[in-house]
Amino acid sequence: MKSPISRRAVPALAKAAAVFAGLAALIAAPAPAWAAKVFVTNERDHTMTVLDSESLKTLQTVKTGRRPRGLTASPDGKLIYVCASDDNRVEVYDANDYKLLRTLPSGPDPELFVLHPSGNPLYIANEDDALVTIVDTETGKVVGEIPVGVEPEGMGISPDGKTLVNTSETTSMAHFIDTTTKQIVENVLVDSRPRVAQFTPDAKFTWVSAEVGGTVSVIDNASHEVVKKITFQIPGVNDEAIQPVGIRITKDGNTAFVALGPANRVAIVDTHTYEIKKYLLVGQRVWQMAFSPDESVLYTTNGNSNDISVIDVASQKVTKSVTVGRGPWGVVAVP
Amino acid sequence: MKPLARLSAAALLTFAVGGANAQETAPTAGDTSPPAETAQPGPKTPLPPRDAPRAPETGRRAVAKDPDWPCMQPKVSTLSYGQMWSGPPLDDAIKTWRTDSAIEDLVERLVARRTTMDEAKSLLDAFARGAGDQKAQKLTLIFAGVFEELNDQRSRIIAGIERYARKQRALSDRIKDESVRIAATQKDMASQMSPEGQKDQQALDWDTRIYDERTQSLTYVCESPVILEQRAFDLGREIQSRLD
Repeated sequence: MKSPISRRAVPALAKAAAVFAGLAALIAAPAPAWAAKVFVTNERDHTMTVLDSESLKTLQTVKTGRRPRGLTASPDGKLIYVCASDDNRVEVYDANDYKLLRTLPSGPDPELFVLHPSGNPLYIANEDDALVTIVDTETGKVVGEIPVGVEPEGMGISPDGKTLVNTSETTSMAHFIDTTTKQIVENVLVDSRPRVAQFTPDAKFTWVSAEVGGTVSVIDNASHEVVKKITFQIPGVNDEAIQPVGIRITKDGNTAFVALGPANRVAIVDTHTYEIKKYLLVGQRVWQMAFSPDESVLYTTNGNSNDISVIDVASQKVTKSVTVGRGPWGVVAVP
Repeated sequence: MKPLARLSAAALLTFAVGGANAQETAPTAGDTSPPAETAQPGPKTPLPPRDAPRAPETGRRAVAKDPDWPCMQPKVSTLSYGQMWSGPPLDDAIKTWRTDSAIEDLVERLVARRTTMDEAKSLLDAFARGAGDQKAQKLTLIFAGVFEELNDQRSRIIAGIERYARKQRALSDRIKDESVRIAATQKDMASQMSPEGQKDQQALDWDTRIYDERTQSLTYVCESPVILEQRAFDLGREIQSRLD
């Protein structure tokens, strides 16, 4: 069975030289040239698992700082950034040989961060200080601090990098920040314990999940009004178990995936009608998610079943679950 | 004494958050009070005071209501089957699975702690092969049984943990009262060295030691509901994978 990516890539090559392409595909089969790498932080093991996206086998388990949580990759996919929460620093790894290249200052207890679309700077949420710390990824220097609400966590950035949205868990707000002036433009009240902020690809809306509130607020970025509050009901699941955290939206802007924590489900939402099309059963306490580079697959981290689930985006089905370390938290995939 | 002290501090804090939320930390969407403005236009909705207390963790509200829950893990008294089952509704299956003795036997073996997951997989394989065209229906009954049994076991353990916490609290009160009494009555060397004084001190030392040891094992006790939930989830996943 070929993966969607190789199916797409083979016809492209076939235009140039059909026979050669066929041969190349055969030769490449054991280690496909298009395979991606999936990085998963294991909060309770203090490690990071690196998986091959085709075989889903562990390539390496990397020792990290203590309690690794948030995870992201540089735009070129060459660097992996890890929040080592209990070591109060951000670690930068080489995506090729998994070596620790350097550490960046982060302020205390970094949990989540977001990279500017250009790859610099890095915006880090400091839970204990009610601050967003801005770090230059080249010089490793703190270049700014923005006071926000209490217990900042979720971080989203607009595709043009001009607007940063941070959520604060205690204040239950999404803070819209102008990255040029480093000032808050507006604070938008959402439901209790907001965890994640995600821009739509057209930059018109920001989706914010509220873990205790059990909702996702859709905020109009121009008016800063909440235009829709999405709620979730799953037959056979208590309402208290429905705790939305991770949000991912496809590049075409049509489909959103929302991870529902201890409900062990991922909701698939039509971004135009806000209708929930499906609830996929994944693993226990699903929090964070990441697309594969070609967006054919979505990976979810399941913190209590110590595995990741692999969702086929086109068919909207869970195709596999793969055991990683204990307490998988963040996930990112690079080509 | 520390964990309980922490627990009550956390509980108090959560109560405090509830009160504070209403007064300080919840500016409504229509809140028009002007922000501390300079020449630059600031946000329409101001930030609340920075010393606002911390947000309740998920499940902490339940903790605040229930001082007998000593675990870090949020207290979830019963599981819901939808957390581990995406098949048809189980309402009927939960009522009827016990009517088939073969199913009852298999459920008993699957939920037993001594049965490893590999053994469980082979048991399910054999059962699925033998079930013929009733496979889907029978596997659904198996899951209903596994879910009900593990959920029951888990609820009993949770009740046990609460009893444990109540005993610990009573013991902690006794230690406190005794140490206050000893401090008040044994003010000089002579009373401390007297046979009664020595006896009292020894009893207090024992109580403190028992309390500390029980507190240490709480970490493991609190893991039990989690382990049972994982077991139910794993078995559910194995059963569903044999449905197609």
